[in-house]
Amino acid sequence: MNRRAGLLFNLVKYRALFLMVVLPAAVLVFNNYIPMFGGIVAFKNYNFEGGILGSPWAGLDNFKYLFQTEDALVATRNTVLYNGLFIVLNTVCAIFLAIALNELRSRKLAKFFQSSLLFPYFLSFVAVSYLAYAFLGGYGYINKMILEPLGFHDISWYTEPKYWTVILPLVNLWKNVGYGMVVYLAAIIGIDQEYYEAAVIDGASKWQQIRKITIPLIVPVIIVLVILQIGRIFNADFGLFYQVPLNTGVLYPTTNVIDTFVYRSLLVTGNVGMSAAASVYQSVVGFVLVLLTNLIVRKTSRENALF
Amino acid sequence: MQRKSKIATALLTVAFVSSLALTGCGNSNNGNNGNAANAAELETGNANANAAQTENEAPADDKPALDPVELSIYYPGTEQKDVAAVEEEMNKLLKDKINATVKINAVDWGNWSQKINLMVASGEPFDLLFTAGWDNFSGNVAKGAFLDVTSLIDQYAPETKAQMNPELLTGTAIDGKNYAVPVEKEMASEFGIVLNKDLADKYSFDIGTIKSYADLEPMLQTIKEKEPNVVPFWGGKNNISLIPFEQIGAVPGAIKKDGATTVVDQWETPEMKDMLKLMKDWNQKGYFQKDPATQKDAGPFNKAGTVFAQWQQLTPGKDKVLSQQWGHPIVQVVMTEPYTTSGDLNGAMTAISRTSKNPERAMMLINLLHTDAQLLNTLVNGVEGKHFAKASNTVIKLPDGVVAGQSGYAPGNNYMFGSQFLNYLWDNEDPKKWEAYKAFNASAKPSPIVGFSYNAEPVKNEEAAIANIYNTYIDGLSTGVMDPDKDLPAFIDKMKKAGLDKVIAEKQKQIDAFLSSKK
Repeated sequence: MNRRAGLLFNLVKYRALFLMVVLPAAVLVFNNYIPMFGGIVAFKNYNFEGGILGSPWAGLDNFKYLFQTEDALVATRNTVLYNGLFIVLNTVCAIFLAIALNELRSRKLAKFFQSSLLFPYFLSFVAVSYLAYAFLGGYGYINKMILEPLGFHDISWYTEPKYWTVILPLVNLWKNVGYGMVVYLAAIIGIDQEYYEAAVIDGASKWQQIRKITIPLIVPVIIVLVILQIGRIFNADFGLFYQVPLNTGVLYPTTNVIDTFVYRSLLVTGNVGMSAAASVYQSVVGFVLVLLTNLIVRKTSRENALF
Repeated sequence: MQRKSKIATALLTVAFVSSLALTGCGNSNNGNNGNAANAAELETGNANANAAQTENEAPADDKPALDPVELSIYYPGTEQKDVAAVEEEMNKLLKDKINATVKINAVDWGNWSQKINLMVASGEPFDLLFTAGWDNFSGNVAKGAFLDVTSLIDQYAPETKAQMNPELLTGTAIDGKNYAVPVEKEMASEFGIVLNKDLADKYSFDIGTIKSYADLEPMLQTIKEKEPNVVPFWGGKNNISLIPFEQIGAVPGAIKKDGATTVVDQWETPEMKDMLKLMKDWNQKGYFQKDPATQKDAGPFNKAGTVFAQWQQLTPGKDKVLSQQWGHPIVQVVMTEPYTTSGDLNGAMTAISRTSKNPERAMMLINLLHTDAQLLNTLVNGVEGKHFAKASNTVIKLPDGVVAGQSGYAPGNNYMFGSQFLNYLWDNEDPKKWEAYKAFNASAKPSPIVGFSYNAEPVKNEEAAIANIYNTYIDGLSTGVMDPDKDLPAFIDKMKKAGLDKVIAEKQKQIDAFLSSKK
């Protein structure tokens, strides 16, 4: 049997599986691959009369403004650093919470904590931004209810970029930790109880059980989740970085990320070609980053690499 | 063995769930790619529009043959509660005249330029929209967002063309072509402040003594001490526009309002530095609202009457208009001389989107807004009997039982459409307001470059880079949140590195060419 026949044979034999793939693959092609041709807009002097194909070519002109200032570089740096920090912070906190919830005796309390921790995940960032403003604004909770009664001066949170390197990770953690926690909790519950029974008989303490059984057994899950997140390290959460600082110019140095940079470029210039250039820049650097990450993973543990 | 497969299953589940989540997130990414699809849609949309245009052209003069169409109108402002009633009233008036119905869309000031940019970029069909020189008119024209209406005006708006000051049409044309119909209104601008009259009276401030911001300071101090719930002065980026420079284009680069034609960076002038220092001083003294660089919308505060003083672009009788809109008495103080720039000719215009399906009907509607007082006043003042009552032929008052500022329709768009001279006057306004406008127009000192329009295309990369920097600093510097001693030099330095000198040289080149062509 040659390879071709084998493929045909497989197609027939696993037709149900192939059928299941058809729809998602179509969505992928239509949503993600076909629009890629729009990337040529980045190399065109776009106007509405000519459209995508008819507009004159502009070479690399549209990319110039990205490198004329350090804005694009700052945004790139912010994107990678914030996302790196988010991955570490969220993973550690989510695992910690998952273990803690798993150890909780009362199932009712566990359910309660689980739901309330997951709840912020479903809030829109617009709502979150006003919650944050209620806390941090000039008349906000922190200034009026905490700092003033304690005799401190008000702090203008929205005028000092340096505070936001802490505020943004905290907001992101609060919003997203519940989701990671649920995933890890599922993994922990999947661990066979026999391990723990055996450990108890051997006289292992709770701490030893966590360290020697729980964590090693969920390591594969952790690796997969982290790799997936690293793959998206170049895609910042637009809502977090645009809505939560209320699009305040003063804060751009620490809140501008690639996504907001691209968005603002379109708004400021209204120039389709130039915003497309920024978007192409993001995609190319992001692509390189994914390849690099995968390369590193493959070097360290081959079977965990994505490809 | 079994255990292993269990872990594998868990792992697979996790991978599956997360990949689902990731594809979900992936949508945000598609927003960027969406341009392509939208642009494609736009192309077909254009084809349709063109087809419709040719089809409609033939029977255009034959009035009964007009098919009913819906025309959408977009302008910046707060959405009004009773807009449906106003649309209904306008539709009644329009039915016999041009057999059209209207859909009025007010877009928040804060979102206006973004929304229009996105609508234009996505090729969404719409008809009339407000535009202005300060609202990226030339940029939109360069992008081909607006229809060339030169011949449409001749064909479908001859009355408007006949009654309009010809300077308006020539002064707003780009390369000899009109891409919008200018509103007939004041042709000059002056700046100053408006004060909450109740508060000014309460502390018997002598408004006559105010000539500059500095004269205002003792009053702000009084308000700060005695009225803890009132913002003494509204901080914002417009406040610095009192310095005597005429802005050219969108990014820094201006000529001084003393007849000079040399383009300078106004941020490097001593006038700007003094202004920024004053703003910082005021911010430190607590005269501004909290978080002035973030809290940019004065609207709710004005409705509540909790702002004492704020910057405004003024025209004769502007305070009376604002009193009506905000529901409490306002008084204005002029701080600059009336001055006519190109920006004042194109300060308010009506354009037709190139995605309009019925451009000739849209032009007929524009013509009516310039000539039909009843129609125009419905759009800007609302439904007679519901939002206003007639006191005489051209003077209106609030209907009995309606409180100022709560009528359900006070869009504040009276300067955005048609001929302002057709607008009814409120009973609190000077009955000679339109005469005052004409005198104001006559008294204004014209800029040496009236009629000049700047084309940013040759330096668009520099402008884009500078605009990003500008937006980082403008709110912070002009509200005194940033330190002019430290941040202003950094701001200037960054703009220079991004090519500000090249932009200024380009502006100078274009102005010199304009001036020599005029000779």
